[in-house]
Amino acid sequence: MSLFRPFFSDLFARLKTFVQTHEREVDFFCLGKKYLVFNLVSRNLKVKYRRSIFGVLWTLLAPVGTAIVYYFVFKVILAVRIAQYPLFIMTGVMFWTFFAQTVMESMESLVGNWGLISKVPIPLQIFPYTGALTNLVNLLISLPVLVGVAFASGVVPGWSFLLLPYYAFCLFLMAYGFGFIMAVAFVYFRDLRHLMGIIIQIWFYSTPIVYAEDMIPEKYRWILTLNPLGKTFQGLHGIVSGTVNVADLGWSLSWGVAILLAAMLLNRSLVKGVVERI
Amino acid sequence: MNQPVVSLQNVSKVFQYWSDQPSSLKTVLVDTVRGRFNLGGRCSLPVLEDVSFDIRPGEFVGIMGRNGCGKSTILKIICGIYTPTTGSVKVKGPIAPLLELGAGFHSDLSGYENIFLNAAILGFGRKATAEALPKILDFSELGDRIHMPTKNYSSGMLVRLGFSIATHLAAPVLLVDEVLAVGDIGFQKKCLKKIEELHREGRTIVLVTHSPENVRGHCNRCIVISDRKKIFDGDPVEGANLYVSNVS
Repeated sequence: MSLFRPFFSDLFARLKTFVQTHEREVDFFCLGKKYLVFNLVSRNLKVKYRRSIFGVLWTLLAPVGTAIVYYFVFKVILAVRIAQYPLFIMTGVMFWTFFAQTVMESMESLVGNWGLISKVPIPLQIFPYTGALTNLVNLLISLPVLVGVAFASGVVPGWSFLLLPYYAFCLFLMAYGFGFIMAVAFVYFRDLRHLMGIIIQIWFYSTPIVYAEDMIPEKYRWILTLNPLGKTFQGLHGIVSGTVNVADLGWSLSWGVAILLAAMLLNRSLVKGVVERI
Repeated sequence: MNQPVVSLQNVSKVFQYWSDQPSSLKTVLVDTVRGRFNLGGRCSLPVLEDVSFDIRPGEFVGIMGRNGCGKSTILKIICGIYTPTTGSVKVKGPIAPLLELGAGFHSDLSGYENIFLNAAILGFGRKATAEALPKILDFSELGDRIHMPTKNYSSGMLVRLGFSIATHLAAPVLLVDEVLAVGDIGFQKKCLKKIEELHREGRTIVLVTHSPENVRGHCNRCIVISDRKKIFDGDPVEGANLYVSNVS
């Protein structure tokens, strides 16, 4: 028993040294610059909401408008057989808009902030991070709208709705990690802007957002497994219909953590030359 | 307890850039398909060669050299904006850098908001900034123009604000690149007086300057850089004389 103590204290000391020497990679959540994060996020939110209720409504305009169009096309015209379609499509569109917007904004964030990056010491990950955080706050604030849509379509939201922030968090990890990778890639390849537009479109239709996952023919089910967002949206559909699938919860978080780890590894190796390349 | 606060060991820096920059994925792919896998003509620009020095706490170092000899690159490496190609750099503790006009400012924000942004970037929280705020506003002499967006500031106003912020926040090391020359004579005198005051308080100052009188009169150490290498490190009067003879 007495051997365990020195082992653990030694391990702890090593961990501490590791954290100190690799501060840049470990601080992927910018914990060392909390006030700067707060400053940037609150400034972004002020611009988005402009301190008025109209500002809040305006930011909701895009997802609500898109959802209405999809409802008309897929439910009214194509008569897709999914119950509670308004709630179904609204959830999907809101969470997807969060992901797609975060990735596109983060991609341009490093090049767009060249003035700051090249003149003052600042951790590069703070730009995609604050972008993703701003959009996450936006998404969380919009969640009551989903509850409203549920009541309006005659659905009483069950306890499963409490899991919506959990999926928002998993999606946040994926959006941040992916946004960071794209931001670094964009520094080197400026035509990624066009390519990403196409990829996002394809990705949208490869994810069960306007359709349910059980409508995918068996031979194409592998797309759902390979798609990092697949299980997340599957879980969201479960919430909307009142069921909770623990496997979906687990998969979402795992994908989020995996993408984030990939981004952290990138931070460690390739990021050094980025400042000079911008 | 006389550990160096900044330590450069055999630092060399080479900038790589691509002439005929293929900054698009399309160009790289097209060239690969054509059989010429090529990321463009790669050019190397050596900027620093084997520079080593230690700066101890409390020193007032003047760095001199011709334009383009590598002085600003050294400062940026110390700050952590660039990483050395070979060699190592160790820095202890927070640094307040003032490297370019308007560095750390977001041009759409007002001067007032930029004070908080700049302080946050340097690592200072809201409380510390609020405490230093009256002194910063007073020193900069900007008055009501503090609420103008900084994209409308003249270069003199930018340096006044930048210098105020960098010197009134409690960072133990102050790094100033050649920006002071932009202020008027009254402001330059005020700045030097402030720097002297900070030096007496025990802060470490690194100043890049083209003025031999400043170095002779205020610094206690001078480093001269010429052609990517450090050619002198020692007495400020000798260093200033060497710089003058080197340049003319």
